[in-house]
Amino acid sequence: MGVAPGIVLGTAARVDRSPVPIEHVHLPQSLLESEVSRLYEAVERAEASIDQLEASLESGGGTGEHLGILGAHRVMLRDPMLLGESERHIRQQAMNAEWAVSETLAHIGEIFAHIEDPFFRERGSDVEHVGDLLLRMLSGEDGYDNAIEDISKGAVVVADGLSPAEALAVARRSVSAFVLEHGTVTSHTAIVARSMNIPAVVAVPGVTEHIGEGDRIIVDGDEGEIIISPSREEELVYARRERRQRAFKRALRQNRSKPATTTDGHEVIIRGNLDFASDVSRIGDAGGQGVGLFRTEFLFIDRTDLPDEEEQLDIYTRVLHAASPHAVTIRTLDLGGDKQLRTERDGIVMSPGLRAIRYCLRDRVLFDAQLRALLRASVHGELRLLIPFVTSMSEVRRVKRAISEVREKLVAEGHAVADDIPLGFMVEVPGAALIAESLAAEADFLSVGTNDLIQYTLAIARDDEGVTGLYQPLHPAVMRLLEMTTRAAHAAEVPVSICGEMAADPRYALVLLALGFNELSMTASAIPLVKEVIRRSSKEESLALLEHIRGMTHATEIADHVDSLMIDRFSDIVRPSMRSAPRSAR
Amino acid sequence: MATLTKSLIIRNPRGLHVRAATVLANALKPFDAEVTITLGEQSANAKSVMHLLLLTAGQGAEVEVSAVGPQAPEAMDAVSDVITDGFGESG
Repeated sequence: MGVAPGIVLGTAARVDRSPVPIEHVHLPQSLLESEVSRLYEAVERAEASIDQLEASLESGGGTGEHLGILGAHRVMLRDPMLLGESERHIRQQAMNAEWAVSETLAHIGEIFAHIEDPFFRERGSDVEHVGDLLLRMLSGEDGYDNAIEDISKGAVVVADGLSPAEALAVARRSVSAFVLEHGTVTSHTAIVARSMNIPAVVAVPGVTEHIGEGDRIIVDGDEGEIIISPSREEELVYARRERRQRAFKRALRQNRSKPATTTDGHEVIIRGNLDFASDVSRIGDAGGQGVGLFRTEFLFIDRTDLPDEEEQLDIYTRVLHAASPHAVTIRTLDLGGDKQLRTERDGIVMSPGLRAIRYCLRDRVLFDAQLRALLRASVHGELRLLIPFVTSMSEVRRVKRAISEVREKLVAEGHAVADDIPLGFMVEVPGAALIAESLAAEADFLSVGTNDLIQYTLAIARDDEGVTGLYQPLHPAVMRLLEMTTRAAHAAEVPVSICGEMAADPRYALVLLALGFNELSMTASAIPLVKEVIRRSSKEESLALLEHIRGMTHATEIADHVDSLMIDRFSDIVRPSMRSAPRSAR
Repeated sequence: MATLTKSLIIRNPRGLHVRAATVLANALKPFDAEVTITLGEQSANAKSVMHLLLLTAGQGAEVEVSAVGPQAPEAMDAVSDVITDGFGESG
């Protein structure tokens, strides 16, 4: 089970902490008082070793949850339950301190084991760790460093279990990963691993038997897998994934605030797609320049009532504020397919083709409430309006009329509305791409939804598993429709963006750059790598690639060419795709 | 000696877990008073983190607090503050 993400290829270092041998001795009455003192001295030394570890972590800039765990363990060392019962065992049953403590621990452990709630039951491991430290102090050990001083930097630590304090002490030595035979995702050791960004896989039965000191080992904290003594091929695959992960982290760190500008000075705006208003900060964190697609349908589905104008106004305003000074493209309600209202609407009979803008023009009560909220929100930031699933110019005319009607009404009511709200149309059916010139003439921007465009062009439903291999983003038919759209936009001098899955896959970045897309909008997590690819490329080489694949007629031939070129050029970012698996289609 | 009692609700999302119990036990350390926290049929010494954990008091649990001893009123105030403040956790 992976409890802390990350992939590491390294050399195993065993941390074997043999259990402390417990002697059982009945003491003469005269020694009992000094035995109790010995117990309290051990508590003091245990506290000192926690203090020492804590100080070394704080000086190393450590903060956060893991230090809290050490504090809790220090308090638990003085716990009346632990010390009171141990002291009683010494005084009343004349036990030596080790025996008394281990009896007490066994008793407490049994009570914890019977707790039904797994979250609280798990906390019994904290009691064990505290008890183990106390027993080690009683047996004369002097701190956490003994067992781990031989561990070299970058080693993969392999152990039966580690207490959070031990994990911290080991982590301080810059180890690269943890592999534990025991442990759970909520254990404090897992929390330590996560908070210190060290990949960890726990609960691997038999792992301490199978891994020896110095063995080569791959630890995959994402998938929760380990590979002992990997083959050459396995090492290559994992090394590539590890590089990709490093590239991702580097890209995130270095490029967050930089534009996606090619080496020959051509800039592409990178924005984020948004499903839920609360996620808007993730886009900025990943380096996105505002919201390229806010899918408002998630405000409407999965609920039995519908959001009124005020509720929508509040949400749109919040997103505009959060994205400021960047623009926010809000797409009007895109119902249909798997996205349906839970409520019946008066006088409207749903049918498979009645979706998105077609539906909205039929249900003007719902549509007008959304337009009112959007127009009222427009004074709070850089709003751009996007109309989905447009297929004809008469829809364009009707949408424009609806917007101007709503605007007039709002102004008459005394509401403030921004003077100039850019209006864009989505190109997501082949028919729209074929009339892109007419659309562009009436639009302030165009935005291509590749998921539907590919699906309707190639007659392939994305969720149809029988034909996933036929879902081909680089099919010549799709490429031609994309090019028609960008050409029409450029001729009309309006920006054109792409907001489907295709924009999120770094392997297509050069092709989309060459096709002339001004903006790419994608899920936040994809932003750093796509940005990185564009920053390392030139427009010139992208045009050469486009020119080359224009001469090809087979979709698979094009895909293979783009794949091999991109893997060759960006081996740390672009992963080979399997021919049989659906590409980025999800 | 009179025993003070009070009913309080655990509000923080994770309930009386390790960190919360540690905060509570630490807050009571300075006071000369025996403080007991009762949930249902189980009672715990509020100065013992281990004992408090065994209550398995989750979010929304209503607990009885009783305090006895020379500094019982001060200890009771401290418990009330810590619990109503959600153990200093946000949310």
